Amino acid sequence: MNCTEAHNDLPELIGGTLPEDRRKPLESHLLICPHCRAERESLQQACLLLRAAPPPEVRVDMATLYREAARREQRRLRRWRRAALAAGAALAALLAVTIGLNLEVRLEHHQFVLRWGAPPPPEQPPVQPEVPGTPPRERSVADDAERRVRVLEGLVEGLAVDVQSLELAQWQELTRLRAELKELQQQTVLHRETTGKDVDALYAERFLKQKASER
Amino acid sequence: MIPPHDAELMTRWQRGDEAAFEQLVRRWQQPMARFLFRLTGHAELVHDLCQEVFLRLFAARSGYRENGHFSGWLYRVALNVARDAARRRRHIPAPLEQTEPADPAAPAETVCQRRELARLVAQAVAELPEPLRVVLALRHDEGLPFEEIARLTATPASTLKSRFTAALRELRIRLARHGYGPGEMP
Repeated sequence: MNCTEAHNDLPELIGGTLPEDRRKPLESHLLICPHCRAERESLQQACLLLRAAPPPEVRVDMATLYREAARREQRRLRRWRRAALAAGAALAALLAVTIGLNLEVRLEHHQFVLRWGAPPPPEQPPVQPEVPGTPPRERSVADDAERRVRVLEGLVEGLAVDVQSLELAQWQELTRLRAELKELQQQTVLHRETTGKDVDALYAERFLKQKASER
Repeated sequence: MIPPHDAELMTRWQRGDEAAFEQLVRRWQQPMARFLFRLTGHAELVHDLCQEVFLRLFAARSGYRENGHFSGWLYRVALNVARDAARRRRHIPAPLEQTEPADPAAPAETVCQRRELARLVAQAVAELPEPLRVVLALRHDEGLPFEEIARLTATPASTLKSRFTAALRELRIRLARHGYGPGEMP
């Protein structure tokens, strides 16, 4: 056994718990090694000194212990009750605030929305004063739209008037053509009657006279 | 009659047997006092700290799970109680007073010297770092095997042996400064 091994076993030797198979080699080593022997004596001396300071005698008072345990249990229950009350009050307050402020909590895409009160009106475009000579592109879209609607209305009205006037002219033309056609028909009837008389007269004159002469 | 094991007493206590709890307290009150005294170095604190350890044992009635190491569990509770007390009091062990070396040749003062030695030893132990104090208390005072202390403190047994030797050596050095060298016990 060397000194390192001896030092490892010394704590158990002085405590009296070193097994026999390790105690004998250690004792043999201590006989020949004054350094390890001094170490053992030093440790034993320290153990003796420790015994010089005995711990106080303690006797736990069971009645006090039970009383203290009961007090702690009550305190623990009180703490739980208080915590429950506080949590309830906090919840009620939160509920009141939510209702009172018309709170709205919403999770939207990439944003968390916390809003209270009525929802805000849709944003109005800022009204810009008309500056003489301001180019049309600076007018608002609404103005443009309104103007365009007005132009369209004017166009539609104009077209309606045009259609009406066109219809009137056509009707008048048609009436005139009908009158002309009627007159033409009358002339045709008259002309046919005249032509028929002429043909009858011509027939009578030529063929009736010829028959009469042949006879 | 063989006294019941701690585990059996604990099981009975968990079923509501107060006598079992009281038996556990009686069995463990002095070992807890020794352990706490070594950790704190203050005899006047030990009673209250013991009371606290057993209050925690009382409170652990429903939460304790038996794994065959009741003593280890109780020592861990005591260690936590001592740590909590040290944090609460912000207790820093006072350095040893620079007293004159005790004169062993004054037999009339032997009693006073023993008392003084006890005070100096308690203070010297309290000044040690906590890992050294723990192994000193569990090994020297409680006589636990290093393997069990290793399980209790989650530290290798070889490290604990080194700490134990270091603690005793440090104690010797500190007390020698106050005249309590080899062969100078009052």
